[in-house]
Amino acid sequence: MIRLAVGATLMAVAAYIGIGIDKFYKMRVDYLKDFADFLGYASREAGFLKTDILRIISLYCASRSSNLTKYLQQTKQQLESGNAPTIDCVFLAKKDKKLYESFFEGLKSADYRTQEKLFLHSIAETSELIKEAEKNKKNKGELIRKLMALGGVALMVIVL
Amino acid sequence: MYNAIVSVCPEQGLTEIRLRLGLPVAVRVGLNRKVLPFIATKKMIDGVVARATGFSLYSRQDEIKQGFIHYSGGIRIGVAGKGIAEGGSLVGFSEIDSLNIRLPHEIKGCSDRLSNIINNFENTLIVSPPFAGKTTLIRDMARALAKNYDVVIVDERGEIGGGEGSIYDLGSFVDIVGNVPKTLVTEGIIRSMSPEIIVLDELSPEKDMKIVEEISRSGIKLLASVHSDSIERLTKALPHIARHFCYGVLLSNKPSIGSIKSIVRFRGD
Repeated sequence: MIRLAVGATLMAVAAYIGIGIDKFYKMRVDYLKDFADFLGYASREAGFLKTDILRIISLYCASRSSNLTKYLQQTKQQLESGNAPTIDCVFLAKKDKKLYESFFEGLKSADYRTQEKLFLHSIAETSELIKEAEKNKKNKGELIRKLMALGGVALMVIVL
Repeated sequence: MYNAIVSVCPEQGLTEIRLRLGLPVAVRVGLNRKVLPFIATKKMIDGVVARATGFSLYSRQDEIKQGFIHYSGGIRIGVAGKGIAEGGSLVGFSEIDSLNIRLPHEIKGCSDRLSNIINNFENTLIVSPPFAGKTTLIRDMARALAKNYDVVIVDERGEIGGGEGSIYDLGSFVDIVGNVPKTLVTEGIIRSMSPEIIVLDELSPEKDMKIVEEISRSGIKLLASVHSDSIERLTKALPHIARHFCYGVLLSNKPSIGSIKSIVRFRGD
């Protein structure tokens, strides 16, 4: 009876870890898609209305509810207090964070021509990162989830 | 930076802060200059520019091309540095080395001295050298005129209305068109806003004469200001200006900012 309970627990823990890892990859995709959506919105606002980034963040966060809005609000506060924009999100990879931070840093000194280039570059880079993240989600996230579930079953069999 | 400045000089009466790269920060309190015991650094200048542009230089590029950035509350920041010219015009600055931060003031009732002009309003030109209080006067006149007329202010530099975060009370009958050149919006205002009086700050005689003529021709009254220290010199150099105005009010910063030196009637109609 005890073996069964231990085996079931091990199986559940392994499956839970697998789901957690899968979620990690999914969340990266979600965050990057949110960032791409923000870039599209900001690009239109900056291009047509020459709206500054602080106002763009306020307008975007007021009109949308996404995973990223909390971090955008933090970035706005960092800019207003004179600090370098950073993002401390566990779901994002190092290069995702670098892209996010360099976008906001670059806007500070981007004139009307260079802001267009900055937006195009950031949108293209984000698109590439989304492709990579989706590939990782499929190849790694789902695979790990399935392997962990199988591993859990294997552990249960061994324990029994 | 502002806190550091007000810690060594009084906030009241502070009208100007000048940052020149590598040189001591200078301020103007009233008409008196004062040099402060700290040096303007690149970081300090870039920080002011970043904040004033909302951390987005592109959003203020058109203003920078004209040599200034407007900041909330009607603060105007003059910029100077290494310009970039292209196709015969200034497209921006590669390095901004000097800033002149002009802090506006509101003095309610300062136009009471001109109540005779305000009560029977005819086209009026405020003539003033820098630092004589023309924007403060024109703002108060607009407020007073709006009690009896529909007033539209074309606030090219965001100084009269203050722009976003404005602290000014202009009453309930003032419309403000802000942050765009007068030449681009005046025709639309005449056609669609039905103003009785249009207020224009800091006329540029070369650029803005066409809109002055258009307003004058359309029967809308005009309150405007222009830089000069003498009405005689102005009318000699630019006689076509005077014929559009009934009154000229010359301001001076002596004995104090906002002093009325003379009031001239240009024409008798």
